[in-house]
Amino acid sequence: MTTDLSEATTAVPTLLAIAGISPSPEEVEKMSRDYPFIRMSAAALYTVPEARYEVPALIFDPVPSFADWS
Amino acid sequence: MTEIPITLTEAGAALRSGSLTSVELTKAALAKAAELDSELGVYLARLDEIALARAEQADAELASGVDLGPLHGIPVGIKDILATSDSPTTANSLILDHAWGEGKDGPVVRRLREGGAVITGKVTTMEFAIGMPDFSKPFPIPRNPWNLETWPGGSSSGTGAGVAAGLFHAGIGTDTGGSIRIPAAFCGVSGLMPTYGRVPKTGCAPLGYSLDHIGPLARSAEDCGAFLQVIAGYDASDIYCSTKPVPDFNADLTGSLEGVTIGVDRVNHSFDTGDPGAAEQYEAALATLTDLGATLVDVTLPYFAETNAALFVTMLSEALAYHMPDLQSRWGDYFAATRKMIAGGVFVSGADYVQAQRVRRVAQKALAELYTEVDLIVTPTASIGSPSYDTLEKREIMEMFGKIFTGYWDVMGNPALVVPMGFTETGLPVSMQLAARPFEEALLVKAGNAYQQETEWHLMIPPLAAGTPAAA
Repeated sequence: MTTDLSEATTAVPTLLAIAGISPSPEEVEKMSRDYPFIRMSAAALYTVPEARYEVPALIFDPVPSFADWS
Repeated sequence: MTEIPITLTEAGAALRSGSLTSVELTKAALAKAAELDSELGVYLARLDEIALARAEQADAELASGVDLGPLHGIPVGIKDILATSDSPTTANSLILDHAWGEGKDGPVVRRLREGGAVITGKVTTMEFAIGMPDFSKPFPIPRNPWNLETWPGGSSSGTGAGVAAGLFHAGIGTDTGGSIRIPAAFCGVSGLMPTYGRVPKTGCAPLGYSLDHIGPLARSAEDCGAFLQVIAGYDASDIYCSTKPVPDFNADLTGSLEGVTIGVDRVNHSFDTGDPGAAEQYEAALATLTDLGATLVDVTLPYFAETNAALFVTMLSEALAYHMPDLQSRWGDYFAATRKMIAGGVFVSGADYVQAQRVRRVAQKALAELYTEVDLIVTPTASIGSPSYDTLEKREIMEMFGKIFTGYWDVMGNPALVVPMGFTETGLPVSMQLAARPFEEALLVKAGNAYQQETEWHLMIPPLAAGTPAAA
């Protein structure tokens, strides 16, 4: 996925189309303005050296419970 | 005529002394709703008859010596993303399938009923607990009782506004990035986000599976502790729910903070772009903590920026997974802000999501190390009071969230309590946030209660709601 922020106007409509989401042109323009913030947030996660060999906070339980909630 | 107590703790004492009945308390709450709700937009569904019947039952139970706990006979509101067996659940949205949760109570609502709470209705939220109101959709616009032109905060908007204006004594909120604490702060009440997993969240429409918390908004820290006592504890239906024992959250309300070390992070919590008056109120609140015996030391929250980045990546990814089919087929039925925010999840990759969970582990480790030096950490909840709807439309949402300091704790999973600490120069409430080690909510309640024994900010009533009706 691109991190070149100047490519927002190309990347945003493309990614939305791939996801099958169809906002109005005005909304696509607004989302293009948010795109750099979101991509910079994601990119910042890879700049944490201590995370290089860390495991993610994801737990998969091989003996799960399936209790209903009522 | 009996004066209606402001806090649920006082109301509970009055019920038990016989100086007040639950029916009187409930009628007063319903009268307040009849008077104010057309302006405040708190309720999506009022349950007046059911509430009065439950209040009558509570009076009979208490009179016969049956005491179901601190919420017995107390009017409470339920955020409308929790399913309730006796009323529809909408998530404040045209999207939610009404068959979901129909006729069912999740564990939290069931515990409230078993605890004798008088559920007065389902209250407004930001759609699916995210975004902003959409004036074009057929739902009430929640307004802040301190200034009707301003937002009460979100996403637990109706709960915050309802507690502040006296439409009920306490209520349920949920918190994924601050949705208990932001409306509590903006409406001038207290709010407690418990440790992740402390309260089961099945029966609640999800926003971020690994970030969602259910907790109370109420007048005081003590009220929040009493409320949490009723809803906390393991339930097998929530795979994320903790089996840790539930302590007495209000067991140590001594009014003293002797021996408690509190870290103050000024590095990541600036008032530079905040509202006039907010910084002064915060300094006064810190001075009160010192007067109460606490030792304040400067700290820096580790990985603050990276953790907030992890919040966005995690929340957008988890929310998008839930909403994708509806975003594809019913885009226009969503609120404008909801669909725009959640669709931002398509800009995040699967690898980004996993990396966010790796960063969470790194930050947790560093934060746990910091908590070997301090017992609590204090920050402002936000550097601003509630924004006006006019400016909210124009304001960049990311810019606004740079002035709100709640999201870090959702990502970490630590419990956090917010309490009112005064007003901005324009008369809007501002708030202090205290965060503890995981599962140390009791220390938060102790600290918040000590602060509230020395201050009266939590007892302030918005002028709009002044003249709380006496019981007939």
